[in-house]
Amino acid sequence: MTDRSSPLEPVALKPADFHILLVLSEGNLHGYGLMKQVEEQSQGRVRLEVGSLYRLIDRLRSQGLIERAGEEDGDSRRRDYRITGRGRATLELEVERLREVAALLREKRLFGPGEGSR
Amino acid sequence: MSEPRRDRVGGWGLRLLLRLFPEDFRHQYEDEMRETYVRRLAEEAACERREARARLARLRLRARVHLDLVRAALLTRASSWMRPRPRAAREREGDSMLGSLGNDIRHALRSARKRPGFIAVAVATLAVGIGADTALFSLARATLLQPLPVPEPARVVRLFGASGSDRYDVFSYPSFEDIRSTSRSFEHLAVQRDVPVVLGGDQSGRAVSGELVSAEYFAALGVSAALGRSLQAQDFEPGAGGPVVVLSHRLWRGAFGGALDVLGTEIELNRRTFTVVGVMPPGFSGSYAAFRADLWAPIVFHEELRPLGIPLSKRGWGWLTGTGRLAPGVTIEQAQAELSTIAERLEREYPDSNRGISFRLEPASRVPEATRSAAKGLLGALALVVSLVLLAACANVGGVMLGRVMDRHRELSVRSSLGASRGRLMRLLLAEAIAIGIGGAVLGLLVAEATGRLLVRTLASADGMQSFAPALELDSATVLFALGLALATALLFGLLPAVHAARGGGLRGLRSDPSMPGGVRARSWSALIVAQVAIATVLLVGAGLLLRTVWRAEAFDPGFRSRGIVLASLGLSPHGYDEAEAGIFLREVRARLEALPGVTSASWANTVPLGGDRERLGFLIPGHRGSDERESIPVDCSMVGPGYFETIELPLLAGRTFGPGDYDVAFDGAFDGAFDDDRDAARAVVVNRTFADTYFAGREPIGSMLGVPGSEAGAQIVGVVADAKYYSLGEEPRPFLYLPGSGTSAVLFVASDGGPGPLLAAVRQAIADQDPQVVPRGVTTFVELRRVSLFVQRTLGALTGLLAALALCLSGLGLYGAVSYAVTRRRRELGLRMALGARPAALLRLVLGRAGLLIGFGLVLGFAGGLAGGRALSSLLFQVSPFDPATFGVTALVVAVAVALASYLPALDAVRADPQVALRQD
Repeated sequence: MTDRSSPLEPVALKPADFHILLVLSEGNLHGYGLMKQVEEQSQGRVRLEVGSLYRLIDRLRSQGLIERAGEEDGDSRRRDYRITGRGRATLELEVERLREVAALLREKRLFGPGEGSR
Repeated sequence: MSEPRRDRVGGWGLRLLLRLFPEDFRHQYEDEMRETYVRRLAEEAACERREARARLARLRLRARVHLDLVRAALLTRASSWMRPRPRAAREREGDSMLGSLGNDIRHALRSARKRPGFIAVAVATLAVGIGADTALFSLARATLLQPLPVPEPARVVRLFGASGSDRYDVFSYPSFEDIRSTSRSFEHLAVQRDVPVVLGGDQSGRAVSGELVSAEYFAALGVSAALGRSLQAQDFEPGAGGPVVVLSHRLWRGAFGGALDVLGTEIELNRRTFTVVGVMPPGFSGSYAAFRADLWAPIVFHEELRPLGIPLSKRGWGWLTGTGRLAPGVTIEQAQAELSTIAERLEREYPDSNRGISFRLEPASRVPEATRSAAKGLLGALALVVSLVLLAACANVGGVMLGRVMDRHRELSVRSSLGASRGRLMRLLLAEAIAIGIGGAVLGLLVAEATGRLLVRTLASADGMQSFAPALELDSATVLFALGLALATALLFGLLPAVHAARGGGLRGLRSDPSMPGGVRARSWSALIVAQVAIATVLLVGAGLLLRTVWRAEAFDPGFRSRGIVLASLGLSPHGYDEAEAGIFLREVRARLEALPGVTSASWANTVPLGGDRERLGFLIPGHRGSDERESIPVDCSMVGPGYFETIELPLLAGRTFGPGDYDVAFDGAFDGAFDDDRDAARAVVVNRTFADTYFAGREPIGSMLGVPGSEAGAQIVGVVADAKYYSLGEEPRPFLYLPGSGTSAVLFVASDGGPGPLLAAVRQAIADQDPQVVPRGVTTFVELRRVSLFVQRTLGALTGLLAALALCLSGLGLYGAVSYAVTRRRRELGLRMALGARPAALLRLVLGRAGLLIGFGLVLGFAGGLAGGRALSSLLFQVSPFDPATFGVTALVVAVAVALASYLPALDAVRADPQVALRQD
């Protein structure tokens, strides 16, 4: 069982996990909405079909990164998901990591603002 | 219109797919997933206006969504298996058999994660055994077990001639025509003959293997061309156009880049031009599936590919075997009976050529039928060796698991007293064994793949096996075999620990002190160790006998010089040489070779002693009568070039060797036609000592005349040379005769006083300087050739040795584990003894006494097995007795030292321990 109280460590999130957390950080959403938003946000690069979507939802829930929005209200019919505090912290760590990577790449002149990726 | 139906189907399909997910997952998400699924499918279909496109888009989407569901279900299951499950789920499953077996395997996998070392060793050990066995199984399938890969293979038969003791003899083309035209048993009947072919043009010098076939060949096998056409009746009519050829798929891809316009192009084969008319389908490799043929040409063009100057219509010329497809409803026995009557008729009609010749049918197989029994023997021996190793691996893993049962003694007792049934405890342990077994099988399949390739490469490196290319497949049968083997081994090594786990349960287990020595468990463990030592001993004895044979044989003096001689095998007829031209070629190359620095002498012969070739001619010897109608006596012989005896240093005992004059007489005759002309002068021949002693006892052989059937002049003995070994090192001395002459097939012998290394290249160069088109079939040394003749012994010996080392390591590990376990358990007792004043040496004896007993037992059992194994190997042994005391002695020493060391180290550890610490323990 994953230990929910273990300290956070900067780990590279998988693209799909990252996008799910990012979408949920803007507001609660149900499964189908999540699927569409992730696809849109990633410009079609991350495409989650039904099976994968719920597999990831299950995993992120068991890691304590997201939860059911209705769980505390005892409303089992509501099926929206929301990001937890732990999830938000993980996302921030990831964003920070990506920022560092980008800075490093700029420093090495691999790409810079305006230049785009080659 | 179909909207509601589709929904229903989707609903049904979805329900099935959702069932693939674990139950608690389904419990949580099923409703949501349904909803999302329906919205997802509704969405994209709506985008497309046109009906056809919309349907296609829906299909694609559906496929993507469904595949993704399957994938996600499997991944979810895999990860939930490795996770302990919530109590609720376990309770829901109740005590159903399947549920609890799942639990057991889950438990096994979880506990495996805690002990990666043990699991890795166990799985790897089994993988080697299972992998090697599986590789052999797939090799056996590709060569012996499966029928030819053609339609209705049961109807395909081979046709052989049979004369005297030779059951797989060849027959002549006219005989085939007689059978084909009179027999009613066959739907199609054809003949074939393999022929070495050298490609010209862009692929210059590439050697491939071809087959000369008759018109119904492809029909008999039931295959047709994948591209263009196969051979037709018109291809066989003389004067109906130039020679044509059909290529194999492999050659087409390899040499012609798979070009579609290859049809109709002209290619050069053995310096003659052929037109490509077709390409056969992939996977078709000619008469024998395990041996690859690259092209097929009509038999009427045999003179183009294999110029011997003999017409197809010659009755006495046996060189073909047949392949036929039985007519529907005809059994092989009926066809055989018909063939017998045909053979009798032919014997009456053509007594000169067909006397004593009958015809024989055999079911067609993937390897030449004549080699089946040899192949069976080799594969069987290998399978035996490999299975022994698998058995040793089982004993090893079983021992380790038994050790773990003893370690988990208390845990199992607690489980048992908390209500786990005996069956449940057994299942727990068996599940662990099965998990290890399946792991071994999965890894074993990878091992099998690599081992199989290695085996084929090793076998194909043997002389005359270059075209050996069986299709090894990891098909379902092979995978099933590996899994079956895994389950069987899991039962074998898991059952003993499982039974003990079940027996040791209950309060008895809680109370009893497992550190007490003796008892049932110790006995089982001992038995496993004895088995391992015994197996390692058997394998070592086998390897020792075979490798000693190799050493003995290599050191054996065959009667002539073999060190420092380079051999180059030439087939000149594919390069367009006739007999006379070949003679000139050989003489000129010989002159070039003798001019090379370091070369002391060079010559040629048409056979190589100990090289496997055999030639015989019939001679009329005064005072002796042969058994055939002309009373000639068949004598083994070889046609040799000038300086042959000097080159291989075969001592001349009397008379002289061949001089230049002898070749002037003999130069233009083919080997089998060496005497069939009307020349006046007698030919000079040289005989060996056994020939002189056998046929000229008490007479002077030098100057004596031998009659040659069909020749007026006959032959005159001019010299006697020493005996040598001609075919095998173990043979008795036999009469042998040398003729001066040459043929289109010859082996150059080059003797030098230096090392052979640089000479190999120089010999190739000298041949290329003479004619760049002529590429020797092989350039090697005599020493290498003798090594090749020991191929089976060497390969089997090395493999067995390797596996014996593995088995020895396993038994060492097993003994190490057992002794250290015993020592740990008896630490208190040993400490007490030490505190009471026992000397370390006495304690060591105490601890090691039992190990010594086990080793001794294992050795005795192993020797018994080794004696039986040695006798089974006796046909492969040379100058080594199956009871070879040296082999047995060294084996005993190696085994004893290795396993004694393995048990000595942990024992020493115990004796060195501080008695105070030992006593305070626990």
